[in-house]
Amino acid sequence: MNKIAIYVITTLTLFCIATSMLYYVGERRIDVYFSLYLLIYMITTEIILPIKKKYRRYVNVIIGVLFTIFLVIVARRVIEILGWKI
Amino acid sequence: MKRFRAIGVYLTCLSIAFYLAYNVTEILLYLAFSISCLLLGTTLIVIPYEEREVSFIKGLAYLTYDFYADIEKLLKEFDANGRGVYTPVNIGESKSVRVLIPMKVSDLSSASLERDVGLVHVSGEDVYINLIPMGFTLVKTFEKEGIIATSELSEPSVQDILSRCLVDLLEICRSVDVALIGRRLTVTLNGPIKEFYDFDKLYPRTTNSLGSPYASIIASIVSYITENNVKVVEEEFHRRRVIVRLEAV
Repeated sequence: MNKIAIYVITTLTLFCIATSMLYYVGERRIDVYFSLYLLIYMITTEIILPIKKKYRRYVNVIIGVLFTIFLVIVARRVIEILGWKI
Repeated sequence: MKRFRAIGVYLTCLSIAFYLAYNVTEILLYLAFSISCLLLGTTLIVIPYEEREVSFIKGLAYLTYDFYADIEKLLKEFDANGRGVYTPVNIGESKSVRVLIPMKVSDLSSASLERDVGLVHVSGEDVYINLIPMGFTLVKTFEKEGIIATSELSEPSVQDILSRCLVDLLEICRSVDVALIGRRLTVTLNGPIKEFYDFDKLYPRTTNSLGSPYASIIASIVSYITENNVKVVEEEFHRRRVIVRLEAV
């Protein structure tokens, strides 16, 4: 089995485990799911994905977009906690 | 690569399906699955991933281009343009194959080497350039591993050995068909790798003398196993197959 197959299988398995666990504990906020997916995605991509250096920027763009979404989610939560109204 | 792109497209479609299911049922789990599939799907579509084996084959093909470029220069220098003859030769206790490219020759069928000599081989009035063909090391390796052995020039034996060498070990094609009519051998490579298709345009003189790398490897193996002089007569390149016509001279 080559590395990219291992990457796909590992990432999908971890996504499934995370989803099952969160659903099992009764988590119903989608941003929590997203945050955990992002964490898993970044870890598996960094460790397993066999990407050549010249193509690294493609991964960086995807991670950048996902991280921006994550920052928006965090900002919304902070705003919620502080009780500000937008 | 295409396989993983297809998985990426599949995951993206799955993500859309999950999202639609979420819109209909409002079950959060569908949305979660939709996001996870989309993450992995877009990654597989966007990232240009190249399998190591594919990159390696490409690299080797480029090295072969250099080998042909060198031979092209050499043949121009000697002003040789004739069809080469792959001939078996004894080196010490072991057997090997050389290709003799005629410079000034009356009868090709008499081309032979008693022992390995220098670059220019003079036999009576005949003059040849004596080269190590592509496929020489392969033949030596196959011999060491006991994959090839001397046999008669017959369809089943040649087909069996070529299938083992070219399909099972080298994987340069999916299957090999061999047809023998008289002393003419037609070898069809089905589903070959396409890295060696343009050699005749880039290096016409070398391709005319040695044949393409496909032909050179086949001729070396056939010459070695049948202990005959072998000449590449013709080659045809099609989309899904390469036909190499050889002649035992």
